[in-house]
Amino acid sequence: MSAMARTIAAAVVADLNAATLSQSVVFEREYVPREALESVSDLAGGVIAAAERARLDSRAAWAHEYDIDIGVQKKFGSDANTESDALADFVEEIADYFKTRNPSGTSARLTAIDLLWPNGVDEHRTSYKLFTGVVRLTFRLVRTNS
Amino acid sequence: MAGEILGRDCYLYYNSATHASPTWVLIANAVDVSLSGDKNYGDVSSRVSAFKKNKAGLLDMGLSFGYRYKQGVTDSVFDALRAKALASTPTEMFIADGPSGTAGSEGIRAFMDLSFGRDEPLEDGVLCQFECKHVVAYESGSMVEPDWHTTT
Repeated sequence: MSAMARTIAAAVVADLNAATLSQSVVFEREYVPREALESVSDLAGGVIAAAERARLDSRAAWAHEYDIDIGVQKKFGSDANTESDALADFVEEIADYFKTRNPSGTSARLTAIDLLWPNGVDEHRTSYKLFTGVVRLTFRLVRTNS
Repeated sequence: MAGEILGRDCYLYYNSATHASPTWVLIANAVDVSLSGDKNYGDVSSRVSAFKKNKAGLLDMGLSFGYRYKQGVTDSVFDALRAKALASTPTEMFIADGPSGTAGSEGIRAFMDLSFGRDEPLEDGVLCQFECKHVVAYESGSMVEPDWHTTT
């Protein structure tokens, strides 16, 4: 991930870990999820810079967009739907948290929030009894040509 | 480079000095520059021909461009353009296909009056939209006409 993407991801991590959320989890900045699917057990949180795009903004500047993914994973027990509902609510809570704030420590502005539910992937749910939820934050930053 | 070019490869300037001895100031933060040239026609038809006959009348010329606005940043170019717009100061513009300091750069050069507005879209950059219209201008008692200017 680029230097600016790392800066934004770090700002998101710091903001999340300072927040008062309904579930207790420490978020870490990662390149890939730090635990293998089969090893995930307790609630785990990670922040990954997923993508970066640049488009011409003017003759002198480019507008960069950074997708920062906040991932939440947990192995569920016998009552899959009830546990998954609670975790889905937590993912939505994280999304709602960022609707009213822009992480400090970065001049990039938050412009979009997506909720992704890759639970339809057999590998997560059926093979590993794993709930996975992702909040994708998209930040925009205009950078003048040097 | 010779050949087809993109809009981003062009250059827009305003003159901060005189027509006779210009100082071209680059408008770097321009977005989507558009030069328009309209022409009126007079009807000179008669029974001589079954076709309607037109004769060219007066030319009109306009220029529009967006300017990417920045908050809290010293921007002398925007400050100058804004002041000229608010004071209705005729301003010579050069809509060039290359840098003014490079010989062979070409484009229309004309005195314009500027006006502007500001768009503030929810999720996109704030843009000041400048609309310019060719106006009469004199220098040393002589009218300065628009021309196709080539830098030397």
